[in-house]
Amino acid sequence: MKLDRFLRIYALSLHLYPKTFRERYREQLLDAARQAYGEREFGHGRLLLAYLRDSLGSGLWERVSTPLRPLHAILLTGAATFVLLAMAVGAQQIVRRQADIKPRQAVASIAVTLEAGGDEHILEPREEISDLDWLRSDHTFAAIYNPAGEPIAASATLHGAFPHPPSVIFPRIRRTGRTVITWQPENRVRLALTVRPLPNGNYIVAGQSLLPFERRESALRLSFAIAWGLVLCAAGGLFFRRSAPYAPLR
Amino acid sequence: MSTARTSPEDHLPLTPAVFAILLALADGEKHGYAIMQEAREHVSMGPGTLYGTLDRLLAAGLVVETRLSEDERRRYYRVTPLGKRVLTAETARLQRSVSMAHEKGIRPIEVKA
Repeated sequence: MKLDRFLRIYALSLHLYPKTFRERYREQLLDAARQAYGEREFGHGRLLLAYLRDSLGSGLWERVSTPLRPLHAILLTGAATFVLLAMAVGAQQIVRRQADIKPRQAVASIAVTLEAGGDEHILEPREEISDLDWLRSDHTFAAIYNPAGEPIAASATLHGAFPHPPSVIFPRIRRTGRTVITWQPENRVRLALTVRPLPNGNYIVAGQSLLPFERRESALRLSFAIAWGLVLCAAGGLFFRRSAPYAPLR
Repeated sequence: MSTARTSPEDHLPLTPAVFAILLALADGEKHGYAIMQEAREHVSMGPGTLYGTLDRLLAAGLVVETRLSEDERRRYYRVTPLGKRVLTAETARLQRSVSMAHEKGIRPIEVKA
């Protein structure tokens, strides 16, 4: 590699330094690189890599040591907020989708049993959905509904009766194909339901309490809020810190 | 480092890079590359680290710029009296540590920086 190219590449890497530092030391940094090129003990490529690594490390350090300009502080905070917000929404979606996994498996299993000649009596109510223990657990319930949305059989009850989501949702599910819904029959009971329309007009429904997942979502929200607070503190710290002492030229 | 710190002890302990730079300048003025070459006998140091550290030493009054080379590419630096006192104090501090290590039976081995 020729000296000109070596210096050109190294000069580009000097943009990693804050402008004030670059203006103050550019010529001296280039001079050091020029001399190192002449006196090198190993190949040009290795020397260039060492100098680029130095620019990266020292440049970022000098930037951290330099107070942010107001616009940069706002942009940095805005970008970090956007990234954290996107991550929080994504994580929340992932957690919510996890609540659909077991109901989907239960629906598929019941559909196979029914196709194999089983009838709705395979479901017998054994659990009570409104029990706090059930709501906190990862248990699922399953139920079969007729074409009018009336329950035929269920593996759990809600206050002693078969769980009965609003009948209007069933034709809508058949029409839209959107088989995953959230049902809140009462204040503290929120269920993730998966519905599968059957060829005979009936519906299989399986559901799971959202309570454990909402707790995970709360923990996630708290983590992201703390991370956001730290970002604000870091940006504030970089903004308010004292100026780097780049000495004036004599 | 702050210009308000005028007692040598206020600057201690020195980082290895600061110690190496002050030591390189102890026997007279040098330009940046020469400082870096000599400092490299003690610590790993690139030009960015050198000039970043030099800048802080200038601001703290431990080092001053003396002159420009004829082609005006190089700036020469010299350690100030305060810088020398800081270097002496740091050397004494390190010596005390080394003596303590000797008392505990620690002996130097051949180390290459």
